[in-house]
Amino acid sequence: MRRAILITLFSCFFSIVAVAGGSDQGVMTPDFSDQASLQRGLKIYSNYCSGCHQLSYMRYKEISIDLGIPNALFEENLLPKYARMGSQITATMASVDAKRWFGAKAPDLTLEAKRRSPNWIYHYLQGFYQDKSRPLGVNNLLLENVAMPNVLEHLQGQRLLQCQQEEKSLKSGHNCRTVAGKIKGTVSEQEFKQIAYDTANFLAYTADPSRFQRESLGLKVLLFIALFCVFAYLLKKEFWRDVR
Amino acid sequence: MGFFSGLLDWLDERFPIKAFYKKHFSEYYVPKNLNAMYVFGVLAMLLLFNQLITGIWLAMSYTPTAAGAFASIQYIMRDVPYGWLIRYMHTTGASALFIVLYIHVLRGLLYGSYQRPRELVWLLGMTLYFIIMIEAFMGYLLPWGQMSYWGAQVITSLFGSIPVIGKGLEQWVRGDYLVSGVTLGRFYALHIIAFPILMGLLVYLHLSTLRHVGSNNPQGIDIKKHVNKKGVPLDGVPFSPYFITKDILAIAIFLFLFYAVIFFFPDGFGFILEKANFEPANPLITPVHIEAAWYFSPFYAMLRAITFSLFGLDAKFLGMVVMLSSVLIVFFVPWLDKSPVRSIRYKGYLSKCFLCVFVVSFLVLAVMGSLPVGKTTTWVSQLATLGYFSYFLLMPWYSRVEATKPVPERVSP
Repeated sequence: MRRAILITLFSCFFSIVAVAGGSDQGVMTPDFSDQASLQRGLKIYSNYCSGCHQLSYMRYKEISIDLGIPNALFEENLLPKYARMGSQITATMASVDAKRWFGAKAPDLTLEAKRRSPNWIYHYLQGFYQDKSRPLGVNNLLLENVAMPNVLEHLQGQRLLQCQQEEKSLKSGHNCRTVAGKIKGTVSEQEFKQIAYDTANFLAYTADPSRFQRESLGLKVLLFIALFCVFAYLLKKEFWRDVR
Repeated sequence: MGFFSGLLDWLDERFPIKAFYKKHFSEYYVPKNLNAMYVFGVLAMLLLFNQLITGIWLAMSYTPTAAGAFASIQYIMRDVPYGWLIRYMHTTGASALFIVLYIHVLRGLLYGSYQRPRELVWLLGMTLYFIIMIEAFMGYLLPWGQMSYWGAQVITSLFGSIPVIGKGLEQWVRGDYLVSGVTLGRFYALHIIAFPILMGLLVYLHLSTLRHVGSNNPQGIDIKKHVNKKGVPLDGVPFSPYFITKDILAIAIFLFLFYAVIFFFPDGFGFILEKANFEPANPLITPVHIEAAWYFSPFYAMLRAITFSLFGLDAKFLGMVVMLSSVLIVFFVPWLDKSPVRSIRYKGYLSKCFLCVFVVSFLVLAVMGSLPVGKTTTWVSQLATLGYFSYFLLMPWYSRVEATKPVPERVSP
């Protein structure tokens, strides 16, 4: 019950933030209680990201516990052959190779959701578009001239840039978005949004794994201090009664 | 019972424990009209203690090297049992300490707590504050994030702006040509050993000078003027149990807020833990917008407000002088204030106006220091810097010329 009240309060707060943000694509709010979403996010990470991007501050075992995946099942299906459950999650691509192939090291993603925001990741994954001038043929709305290829392209389909010329007095110059191109993806637009959401949600979790423990312990601690406050107040009142 | 009283007597013969308890607790008389503004001293002490204890536990798992520092923080946050709690208590504690100290100093300014005979309490307190600033600055480098690194780079480069000796001094402070693992090592040693010892000594001196002269109160009335036959102040109540119970209540309320932040908003919306600090320090990439920790923001704004050179002196050097003066000038308040009364309640209109100007300027500077540099932020900062200094520099004038209200003989709660 207490948890439900808190979650309601939090979602109220974040929806206010979301309205204030006023983005047309909507603001992504991480939901750690949605374990299915976190598990799908882990799937996306394992299948599409883990070749290049490490989660070097995270351990396989921690994920298996927090995401409710049985140890044996995890070891059989998700653990790379070279790693053990207690290992930190490393990528197979060496940073020397990354520099040679892409011109940049693939950043560690453990803290990406804290360094930017889960919402940024959510929009970044949806922000790729075709750009012939780039070596890999794609560019990104949020991170211009990004070195990363659009690894989710076969899911999303090709996207094209569409810019709306605004009034010249405006500083931003033009307002751009992406629209569906000729080559369609294997999933619908709505399904792809869910994929981006799950990935961002999973990375929000890797950036802040203590949140599971933190918020449940926090409620108990605050409840105890609140109770203590009552007694401290009564004690103070009792002693100060005779002071005029 | 007989055993414990016997033990107490045994101790008392060798160390005056009973006399100490009498002098500082049961027969230490405190004005009975102290308001809520007077709890921030004990809260500051609580937070210093919190920093000390959590700091010891952090040091157990932290690696003070350029290669290992950032990863060791993540190790504490993830692999050390309750490491996240210890670290959040330390980071939130630092921010909370500055909030508490700013209110504590404001209390002193409001009620004239620096006036005779409490000048030494004020000077020792300000020295303590200055040392806490340096302590916080050095601690900020330890996570070895981008903002840690570039913040330290900017502030240590200020030494380099001093004419003639600057460049050598800058290298001497850093121990290298730029902030590096060597700098991290020395900052760590100073942060966990040298400065805590110094702070402990100053807390002791600040408290013992206060206990010698006694607390001021919101009306600025000397309670020692009216005593009964035994020499007990008529308007005072013993520290124990009256202020012990009051302080316990204050601590409880404070801890509720403190832990609410720790458990539910540990990043403090990017003010306690900045976004840029979630990226390891990189000496090759300068962030576009280098920002001071929020509690240094007002002083950082004053540093940036000086955009012009004067008398052949560099703007950066002048900025540093202004920034340093803004802290040092507060030391002199006991001699700048010429008012015959202590408390703002009996001071005149001018004192109230200038105190308002001071508080507003300080808050405006805090906001300006956290914004990217621009034309507007620069001139607003310059104006607010003038406001900040006018409170101090004009004090000898306005505190003397204004008409004051008569101060009552006895306190009224």
